[in-house]
Amino acid sequence: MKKLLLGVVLLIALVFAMPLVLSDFGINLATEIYIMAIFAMSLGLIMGYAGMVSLGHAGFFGIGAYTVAVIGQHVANTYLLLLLSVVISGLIALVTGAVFIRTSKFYFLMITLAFGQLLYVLFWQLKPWTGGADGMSVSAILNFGFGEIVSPNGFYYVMGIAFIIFYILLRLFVESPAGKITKGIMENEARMSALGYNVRVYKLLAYTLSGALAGLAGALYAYFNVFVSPDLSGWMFSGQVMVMVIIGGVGTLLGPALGASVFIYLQNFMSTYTERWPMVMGALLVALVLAGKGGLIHWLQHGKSLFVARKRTGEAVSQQPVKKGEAVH
Amino acid sequence: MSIFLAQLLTGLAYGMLYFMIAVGLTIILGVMNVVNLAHGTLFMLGAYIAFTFINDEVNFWAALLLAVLLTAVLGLVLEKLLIKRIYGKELEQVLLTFGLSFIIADAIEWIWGTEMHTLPVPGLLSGSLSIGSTAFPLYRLFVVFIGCLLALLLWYLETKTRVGAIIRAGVDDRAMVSALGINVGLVFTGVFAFGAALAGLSGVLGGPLIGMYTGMDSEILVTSLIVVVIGGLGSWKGSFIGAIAIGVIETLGKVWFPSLSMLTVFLIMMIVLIIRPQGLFGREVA
Amino acid sequence: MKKKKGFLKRAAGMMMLAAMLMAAGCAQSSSTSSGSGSDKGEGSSSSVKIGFILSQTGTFAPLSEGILNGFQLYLDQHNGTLGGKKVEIKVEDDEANPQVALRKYRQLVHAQKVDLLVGPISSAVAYALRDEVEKDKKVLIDANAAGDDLSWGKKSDYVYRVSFSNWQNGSNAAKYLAEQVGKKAVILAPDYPAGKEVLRAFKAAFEAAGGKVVKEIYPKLNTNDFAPYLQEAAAEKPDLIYAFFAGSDGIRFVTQYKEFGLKGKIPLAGSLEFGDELITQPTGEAAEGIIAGINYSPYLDNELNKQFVEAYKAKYGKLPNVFSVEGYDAAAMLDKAITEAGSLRSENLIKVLKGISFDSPRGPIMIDPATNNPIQNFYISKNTLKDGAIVPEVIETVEKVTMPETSPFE
Repeated sequence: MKKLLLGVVLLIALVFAMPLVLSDFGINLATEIYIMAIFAMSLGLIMGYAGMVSLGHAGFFGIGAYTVAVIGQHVANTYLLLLLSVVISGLIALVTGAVFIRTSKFYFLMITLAFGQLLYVLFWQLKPWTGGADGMSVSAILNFGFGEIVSPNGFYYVMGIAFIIFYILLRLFVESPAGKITKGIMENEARMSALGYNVRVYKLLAYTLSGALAGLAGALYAYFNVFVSPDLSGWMFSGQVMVMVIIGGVGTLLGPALGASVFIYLQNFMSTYTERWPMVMGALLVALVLAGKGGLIHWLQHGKSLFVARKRTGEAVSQQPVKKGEAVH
Repeated sequence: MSIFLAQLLTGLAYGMLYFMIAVGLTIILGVMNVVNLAHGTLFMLGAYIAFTFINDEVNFWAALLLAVLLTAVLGLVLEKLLIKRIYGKELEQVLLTFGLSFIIADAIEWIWGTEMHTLPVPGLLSGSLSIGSTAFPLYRLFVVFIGCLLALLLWYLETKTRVGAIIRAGVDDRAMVSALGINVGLVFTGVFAFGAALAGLSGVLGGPLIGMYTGMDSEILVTSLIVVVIGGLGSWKGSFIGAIAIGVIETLGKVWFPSLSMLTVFLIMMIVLIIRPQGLFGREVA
Repeated sequence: MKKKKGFLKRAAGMMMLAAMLMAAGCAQSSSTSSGSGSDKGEGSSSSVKIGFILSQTGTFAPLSEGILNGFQLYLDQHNGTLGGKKVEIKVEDDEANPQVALRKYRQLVHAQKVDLLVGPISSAVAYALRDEVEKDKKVLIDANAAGDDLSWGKKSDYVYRVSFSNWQNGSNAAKYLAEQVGKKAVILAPDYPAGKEVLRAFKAAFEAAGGKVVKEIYPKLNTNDFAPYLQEAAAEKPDLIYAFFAGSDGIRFVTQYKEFGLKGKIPLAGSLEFGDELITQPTGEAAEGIIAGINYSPYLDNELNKQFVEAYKAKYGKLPNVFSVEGYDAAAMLDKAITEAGSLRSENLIKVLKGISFDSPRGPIMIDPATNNPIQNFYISKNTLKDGAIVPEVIETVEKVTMPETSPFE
């Protein structure tokens, strides 16, 4: 508990220190990164702790975003809208998940892809409500009861704090008995099944939590971007968030968040420098794999342990052979 | 009646095209357990290579051969340099082949520009057959023919040749095959190159039908992934049946349920996976 | 204890990295904003910074390239200046996704501090940007997005279209077709907003001229195989088939129309895409005989166009298409607007842009202040084969095609 507290204090310091060094646009970008980090963590939860790789996760993001956009035309209460986003996406995750988890691995990947496309087409076809392929503006305004939040700084702190809250909640889940059992199932399903655990219930629990959180990220995004379109549920976006999780580090919570920040940052600035940015992006991905250390978070870990080993002795050195996944859960 | 027949035939031809697009991916998956997300890009590359040769007055068939050879060589190089490092690591495969597809697709845009192109139908096959009141292009019949030929070839390779036997054994028990003194690495390299060549082949044969344009690689990739999943991972027979089923259902669906056409293939996949979580011909998973 | 250390290190490392990235981002933005120096002294600055939001990856890539090429050509011909101001351009890729576009927009406007924006290809992106430019009071020159509502319900004082609207594209040839080709038509377009908008405009104009649309068919976007639709359309035995398909859809539709034996049996007519280089060049002979209502072709017979085509060919080694001319005209319009406004302030530019007129290789253009959409000529033309290339022969000029002030469909 103590270590979580310390970590959280550091994250809070990070969130509150950044505006001091950031430009206006930097704050805007950081806000978006916090939202994407929540989204990436939600996928990281099922990928890294339940072994389910989804290529339709943007579907839930879209549900959350459209909930705010569509229902927000009639309902103004922010708490209610956020709650609705979470409940709707969570329920849909529960129902679809019950069917999807019968499949495994690659088949799971593809059935979730189909799910995401289904929603994409739904948002596209329901033009009277969703504005169709042209998208729709979001009229709901973020208001937690302390006045309307419209300034970039206001958004920045809301999203930063949301990121920290959901990080804490996810960490609590991961370290709870249910979280540990889920991870045990990922590592050896047959054994956990033999031990008498209902494997499906735990997988479904993780999937539902993950879907609900993705929906929440989508809802926050709708407030932030004030525009939604079917692309939010498209498989391209699902693929991107999957890449964020993998480059950040599967099997961790902060890894996906880190992956999200690096990905968004690169996507935003690389095209400024070169028209050939897809090639640079591709080369970076290949290089990351060839380096063979797993996600970026494992790199940090590795770098830090080398650094600490040089400065101190004993304790840090004994820690040095970092086994990925294990040291960083 | 003749319209229905023509539509059935259209669906069949289209399904065969799906089969050709997906078969390389399914073979690589079945033998090497590698998900090659660069498959769609290799398809695209095959078409562009052939396009260049055809523009240089090379005969369609020679251009086809050259494109297949060159994509095979590229597949070989990629396997030797990169893919072999990531056997058994699924997430690394995703990232690496995804990165490769980015690089190759962007290189194509760099070399050939952004303009759209099509490949000409070879002169011999440019006519059409009349079925009742409607015409049916010969080239599509030819695609059906090649698809069947390819299926026959695969069946022959798998069941009647030594390579096929090795591969079948290697899929079941890799250690045993290496213990017998067979170079599994070499077999894998060969299989990957073969899969890449099939992507190139389908790119050229699909060129006159689908055309070539920026962004086509991801569409082709998704299509072939779906065919592979419906058929069952690694089962080319499954892909064959699955592809034809998709082709026919999609074509008839366009007529009967036009508003669903954006979803048809995804719905088919979902229904198949809900009924059979391991695909039509996939092995039972524990 | 051990675990705690691990976590602290991770958090610290993450902070470091994030801070580094952010610092790099903000350093970059601050250096560029000081470089242009046009932030506050907009009115008097001697340079203008223009941000492009285009779709450089994916299916829209050739359109984006055409627009950029045309714009660049105009700059080359005018010593790199517009309205006497040195031009610096920043191009961003929106991946045809409104979400990415909004992020790129914020970067261009808030970090790069561009004075003006040119873009986008996709109408969804245009609708997303529309609210933002209104908020930030930045002028956006719409160089392609054809969504009708940009001129009607979602019209903005800050958005001026230099290309054409779906309504113009669909309606212009309808009267000619109803009177000269036939009264009974089957119409087809992809199932997305542009497709629906072009066809509703065509249908309204065609039926107003005495024609009858007997069937509407909407295949999905990116349809590889049009065969079942073609068979369905032919079964109606119409006098003509009218279709709107852009990009690779267009190429496949035109080639398959021929392959399935409809060419020469049922006249095919279409929107301007069917007379544009981007489609007629790859399809070649299959596009022969199509009647299209176009607003540009490199073969249009006017002096400005001859010079434009000559220069374009010299620079890029190929013929310009409708998108090249959109880019060229965006530059021409800005050139005139900045000169007349004498400033880069949005409020001054807006006054000039409303009702601005200039000569384009397309013919005379005037921005209609009622719709912020260009009033322009369309040319009913028939694709003919000349020396192996498709040339749209102009049959009739429809002068000054003007959008209605409000939507006739509501």
